[in-house]
Amino acid sequence: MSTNNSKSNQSPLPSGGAGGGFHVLDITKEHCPMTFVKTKIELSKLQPGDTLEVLLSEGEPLDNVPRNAKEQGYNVLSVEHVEGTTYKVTIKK
Amino acid sequence: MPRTCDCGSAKTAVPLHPNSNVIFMAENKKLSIIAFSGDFDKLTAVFTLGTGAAAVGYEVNIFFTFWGLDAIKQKQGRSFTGGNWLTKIFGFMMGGLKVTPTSRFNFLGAGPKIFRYLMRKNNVATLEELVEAAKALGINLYACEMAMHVLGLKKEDFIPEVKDVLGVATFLNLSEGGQTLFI
Repeated sequence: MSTNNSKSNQSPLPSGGAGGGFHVLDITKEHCPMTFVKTKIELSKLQPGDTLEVLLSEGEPLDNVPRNAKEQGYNVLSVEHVEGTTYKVTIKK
Repeated sequence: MPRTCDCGSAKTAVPLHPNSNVIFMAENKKLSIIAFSGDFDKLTAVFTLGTGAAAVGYEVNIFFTFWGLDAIKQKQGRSFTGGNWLTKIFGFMMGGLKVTPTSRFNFLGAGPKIFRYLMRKNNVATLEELVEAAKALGINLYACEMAMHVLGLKKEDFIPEVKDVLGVATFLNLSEGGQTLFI
């Protein structure tokens, strides 16, 4: 059985309004195509107003996850460097 | 000389030949895969391409024919399915995802086990995980009518996510305007 390194946690933020759920997805240990696949599956579960924070590695995931999210109509709020080769992409539906 | 499509899309119109009036339009975001092979490594390629494309917004169709039908069988493991002794033999040989052989280095069944071990060790998705991802992403899975008849299989023998049983003409209509791969 493979190691599942993706986590999805929900902690509601006091953002007011509909949605507002906050989710985290860690795909730093994943490889193509599961980087995009797990991101897509988590994004499809979001309600309008929800936020998904994706922790990913530089290289292909960093190059493609924010772009694909924008192309599919999501708002990419920020792309931040965390440490080493890990970046954090914040996406809102 | 390439020119931008007049319809305003990102597609590019390219003449097939400098003197030809026939142009080739770049494909829409649609990928159709004819999954002919029942080999572990080739099915992994089918589902890697399919799930990767679906995850980045493509419409994906996978048409399973002949040995590829093994990937969508409901009953896992070898069993004598089919209406006569010949199809029952094929049913036994095609035992679903767990017993698909690799196209090379099968080593009497050790090959897929070795590859699964290497995939897990490198945190690469296994074939089973890719198939589950394909279902979660809503990829359109189709079974080939002709191959089903030859191998004595019915729609009930396949996983419930199989959308329909098709022939060539319907598949060509579905795949029109996108890219088609034969694996």
